[in-house]
Amino acid sequence: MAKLTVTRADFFASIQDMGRRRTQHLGLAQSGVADEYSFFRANYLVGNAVTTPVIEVITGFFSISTDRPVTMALTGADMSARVNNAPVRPWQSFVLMPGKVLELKNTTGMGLFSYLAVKGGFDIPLCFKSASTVERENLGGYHGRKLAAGDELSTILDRPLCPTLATPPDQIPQFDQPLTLRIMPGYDHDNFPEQSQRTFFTSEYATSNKMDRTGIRLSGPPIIWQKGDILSKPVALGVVQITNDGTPVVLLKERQSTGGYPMMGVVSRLDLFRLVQAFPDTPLRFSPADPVRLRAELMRFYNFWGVA
Amino acid sequence: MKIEVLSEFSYLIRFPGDKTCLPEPTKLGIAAHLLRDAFAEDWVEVVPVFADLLVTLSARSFSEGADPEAIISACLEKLERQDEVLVEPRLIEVPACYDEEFAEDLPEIAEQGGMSIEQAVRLHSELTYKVYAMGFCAGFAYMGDVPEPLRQPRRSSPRTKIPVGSVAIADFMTAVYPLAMPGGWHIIGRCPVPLFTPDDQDNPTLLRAGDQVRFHPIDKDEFYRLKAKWRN
Repeated sequence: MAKLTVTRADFFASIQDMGRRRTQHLGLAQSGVADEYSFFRANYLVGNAVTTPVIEVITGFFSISTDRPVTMALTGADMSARVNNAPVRPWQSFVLMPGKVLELKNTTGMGLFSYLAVKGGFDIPLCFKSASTVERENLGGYHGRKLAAGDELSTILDRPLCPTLATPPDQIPQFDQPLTLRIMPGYDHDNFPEQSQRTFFTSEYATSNKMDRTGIRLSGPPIIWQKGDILSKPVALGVVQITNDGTPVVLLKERQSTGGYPMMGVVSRLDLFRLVQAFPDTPLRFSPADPVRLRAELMRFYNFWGVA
Repeated sequence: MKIEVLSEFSYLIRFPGDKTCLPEPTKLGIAAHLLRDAFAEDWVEVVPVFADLLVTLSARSFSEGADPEAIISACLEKLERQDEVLVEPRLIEVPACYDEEFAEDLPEIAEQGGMSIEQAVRLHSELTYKVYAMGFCAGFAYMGDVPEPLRQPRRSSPRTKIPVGSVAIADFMTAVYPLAMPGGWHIIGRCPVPLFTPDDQDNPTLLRAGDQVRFHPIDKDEFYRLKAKWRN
């Protein structure tokens, strides 16, 4: 077993996996990694089962050391990672030696969430069958909270080091591109005034810096809802809700399980993994899409990674 | 009831009803039970909230030849026929201390309703409430219907921290805060019993959608006695 020590965690780094199932009817958040593609890839590069818990680092400012050689991989956002001042290539495995420090600086504008997987996996107790942290519920992960300098994490197994495994360049996403989010109209969509529906599907919106693991507020033309208060509804992953001032908010893994604002529909899950990586002020548009077609695409994605 | 394809792996089942005429939460509770039974290993989430039920399924449930929509329809038909075993709603007594120390907003609520604090407490605790939904945070139950004279809209400025166990009301709903959270509800008492016990993974919440709930008024001595008991 290797023991890893967090030496810096200034913003928000937490243990995450696929999140919880079968708990939303109890009021618990789903939680889990924001970008499943980068998460699966990180585990794949170190030879783990792809759903093994990892450290999710938001915007950087994080470093870690180890007491034994450990094979690691870093994917997702580019954080200009270095080991004792030597650059580390993301999207491929590497070995961190004892006495050296892996340092994630701030994001370069290429993504917001990065994923650090270690060969053998972190020894984290499961809480409702998941290692995912939900800080507001004081649940899961490392004692129910984000990581802090001085925290110690063990790997489950001491695995032999493995040769470098790299990601083909065409499989590394570009996180600085404008986005078109495919959305399945639903929930309250039909009850919005026609003009609001038109505004929503024809205008350019942009991500903002008002974002965290629960959701992303967008900037752009406001969407008017004229029907007053509505009953709360259960909230699926990727819902676009419209707040009282007309702002669209895309809800992510750590959203609450119920929501009382009118909702326009649900963003394709694969597009959501790109959206979370978009730097504030990235332009985006919504295009209506058919759930059955998106389903086939999502099933191919999970089949490829062997995730049920 | 209407079945709507919501997203890749999710459906929304809409029950007839609105804010003034909500469907019986036991009905959604039975539907949820039938759906979990029918999908066995393949349901990921079945979440009843007021008049809507979210069903999220595993990728496997959509494999070649499978017809999850037909399974959902069959469950809803069973629900209409009511020939399945009907689940009796659980009646749960929740102790609540309405002492002024724990009930910051009770004087105002009573005054607005044109009654004494004692009358307001009696009114809140003599009714049986229904759990319409779980949400907001782990173990938080939206219960109704609060009697008309006690109804007040949410506070215009939410409090940054509402203490654990706070009994609160907003509009036609009442709830107990399982965790210390920010919130805009009016605080009228405090419950000494935990609403969320994550160590008990099979049964982590005191309340569930479809339950019936009565608040049982207790004094401060009883509050601290129960609080100490639950701490051990």
